[in-house]
Amino acid sequence: MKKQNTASKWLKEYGIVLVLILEVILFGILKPKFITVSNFLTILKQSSVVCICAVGMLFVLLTGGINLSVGFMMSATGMVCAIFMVWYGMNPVLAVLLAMIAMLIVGVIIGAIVAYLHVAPFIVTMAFMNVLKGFSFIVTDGRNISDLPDSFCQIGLGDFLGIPIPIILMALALFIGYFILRRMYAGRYFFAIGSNEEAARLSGVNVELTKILTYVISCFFATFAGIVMLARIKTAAPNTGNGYEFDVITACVLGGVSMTGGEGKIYQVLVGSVIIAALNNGLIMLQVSEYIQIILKGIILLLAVIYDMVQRSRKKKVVIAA
Amino acid sequence: MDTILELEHVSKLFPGVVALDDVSINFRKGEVHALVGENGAGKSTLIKTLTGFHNPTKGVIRYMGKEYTGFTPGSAKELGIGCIYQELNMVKHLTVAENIFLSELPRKGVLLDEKRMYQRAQELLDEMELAVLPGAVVGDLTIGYQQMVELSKALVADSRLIIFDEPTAPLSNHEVEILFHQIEKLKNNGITIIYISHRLDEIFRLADRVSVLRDGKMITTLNVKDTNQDELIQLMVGRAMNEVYPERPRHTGSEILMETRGLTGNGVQDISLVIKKGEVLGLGGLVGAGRTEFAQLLFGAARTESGEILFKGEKIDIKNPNVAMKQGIAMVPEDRKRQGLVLEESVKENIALPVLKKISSRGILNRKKEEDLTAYYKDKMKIKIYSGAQIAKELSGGNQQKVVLSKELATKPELIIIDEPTRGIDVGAKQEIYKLMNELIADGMTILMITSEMDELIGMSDRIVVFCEGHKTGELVKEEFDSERILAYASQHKGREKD
Repeated sequence: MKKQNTASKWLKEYGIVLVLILEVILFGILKPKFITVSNFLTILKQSSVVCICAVGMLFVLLTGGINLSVGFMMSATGMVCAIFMVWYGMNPVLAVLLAMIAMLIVGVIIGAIVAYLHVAPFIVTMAFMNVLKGFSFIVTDGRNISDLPDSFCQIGLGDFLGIPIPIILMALALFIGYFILRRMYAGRYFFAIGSNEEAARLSGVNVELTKILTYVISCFFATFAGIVMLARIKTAAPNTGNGYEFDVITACVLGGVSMTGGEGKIYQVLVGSVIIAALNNGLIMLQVSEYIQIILKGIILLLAVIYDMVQRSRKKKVVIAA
Repeated sequence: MDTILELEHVSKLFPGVVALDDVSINFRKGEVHALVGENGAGKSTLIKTLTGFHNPTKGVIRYMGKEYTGFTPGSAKELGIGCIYQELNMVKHLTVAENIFLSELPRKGVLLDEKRMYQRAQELLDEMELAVLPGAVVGDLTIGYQQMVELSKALVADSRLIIFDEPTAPLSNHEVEILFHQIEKLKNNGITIIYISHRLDEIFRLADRVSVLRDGKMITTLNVKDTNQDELIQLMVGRAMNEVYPERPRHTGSEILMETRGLTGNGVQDISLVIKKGEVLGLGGLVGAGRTEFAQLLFGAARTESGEILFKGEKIDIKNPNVAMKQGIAMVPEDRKRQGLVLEESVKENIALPVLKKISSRGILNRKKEEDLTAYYKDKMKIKIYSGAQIAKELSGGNQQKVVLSKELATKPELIIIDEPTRGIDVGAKQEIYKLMNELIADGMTILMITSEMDELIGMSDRIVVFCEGHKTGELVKEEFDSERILAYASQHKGREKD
């Protein structure tokens, strides 16, 4: 009985990797050009922005929250950075730092409202999504800013030892996420709160502070992703982040992060992001319309959530039977 | 009188627990039949069997002449078995009428026939002589009236048999009178009542017959007029103190570790007591007497309104569990699955949770220390696991409880509050927990134990304080331990006269 269990356990745990492999094979059959080293690098590059942002989302989802503001936070970050650099000729490093500080403050505010006032995270972050959206449009009256300094654009377009820098930054984000979650003691708090808030509180965990921290972390990675995005497209436009929150949440849930909290791993975020990027890439190669891509992504998110729920109710039954 | 419902040799087994053990009982048409027994005697399981939430493992149920091997919640309702649960199943935002007819809303085609719904609700309420408007929102009603709405729901469903599970627990005296009046009326209409209550005086007032359950077994059924309170208590508590409780040297010291003065808040009032260093102080009382709530105050899981707590002679303000832990107070909560453990996580992670900061340096977790911690407690507590990575929910109840104990001990407490130390674990594991508790005392720790099991209370405590409805109603030293006396303290509800 134990052996059967390991096989099905393995499938449950790494099934999503199998999905990715099948996806690659399928596109490869339909379009042999899909399976080339350079296309794989392209896919990874394309997944970097979503993946970096999704690392932050993982923290929020782990504690049972959600952050819908990340998409327009990416826009807002881009706008702020571009204004500082292009309009005021500020040093890129300083511009990035200032933008980051501003967004982390937003994170603290969101977190405090969620943790202390017990407002549903869905609502709080939706409100901030609109605030950030309005902000992004208002600062330039809706105009784009281009002509970013070349040194800054290296972040998005350059490479290091032949590896595109966005991919390196993605790896860095994944590592930071892994380090906080698995190596630092505070990482345990996120899991504990998401699985059993009451037990965590009675174990002396400062639940409110930890929740605030998740939103701050999420905003940190959203800003991070916004900077990479800005450098990749070399233009700051108010609407670029639109819909990213959707891709980011889909990447997490698809990878196996639970929407109800307590479960999720860093590698799942990577796999989920890559599946989406590969899908986009493959469908473009097959010349499928962008609108159909959107529909497909909607359906995929739905299937992933349904799968998560089915798993959950099955688990519950097992517990009762035991 | 005719029998309406009969259970024949019904048993219900749960893994490791025999909840009902060969129970045979009959209920007559139009009688008020009381069920009594200690916590864990099997009353709840019996009710759940009748309402279809459990199916008997063995035995048959005969209802109105037909044999059943079990009900479903739907079929029980259809057959006319209604139940008024302690926690009322009301939709608080809907009106009285909407609640009453929720399962069969009067319709006009696809539309809700609101007029008829309110009219029928009014008729029903008139019939029950209840001064409630059908349009009132249920959440605005007092608990007593909410209960009446629940009852009218059962009447609408044409119930032939209605079970009341501790109905008077949340009611004021006035509301109790209304309830009793309703029960009399139901009885006169030929409806059978199964009445469950800890308050024996109510049983003598209301019931025709009374059945006693103990340890899942049916002890006897008596005519109420042929018995008295003392006899019932003896039948309920029954068993001789068995050999379950390991010996422990008698507590002799008089040093006071903790003292509360007039502690009020979280549903308890004016509690003054002392906990002596090195003793096991037992808190006795019925469920809902305020013992857990009191413990929460001591652990900072709830806020104190007034009164003070002295720990080692100093006044302290326990704002949150963190403060309590720093002071050296730990708590093993009542519900280990909901409050004690993060079930989806490993044993190792659970044990380390309260001390993560201590076993880390500069924010980075020292995994070696975590492993050592787990290994130490696995050994000390004899936790049966093959690895610290085993997920907590895979463990048996007894092992889970040991994990919770380890977790609390890892904070190195001087006082450990243990709420229901052996709830839901089997006898063998119980004894192991008792031995561990004795070891803790031998190590110089102090234990505040809350338990609803009478023999555990008597078997493990050095002293006992009894609570009733948020008040301290009695205190006994070892020589005075006597289950009848404790039960008497536990059911003298002073507090109720206040409302």
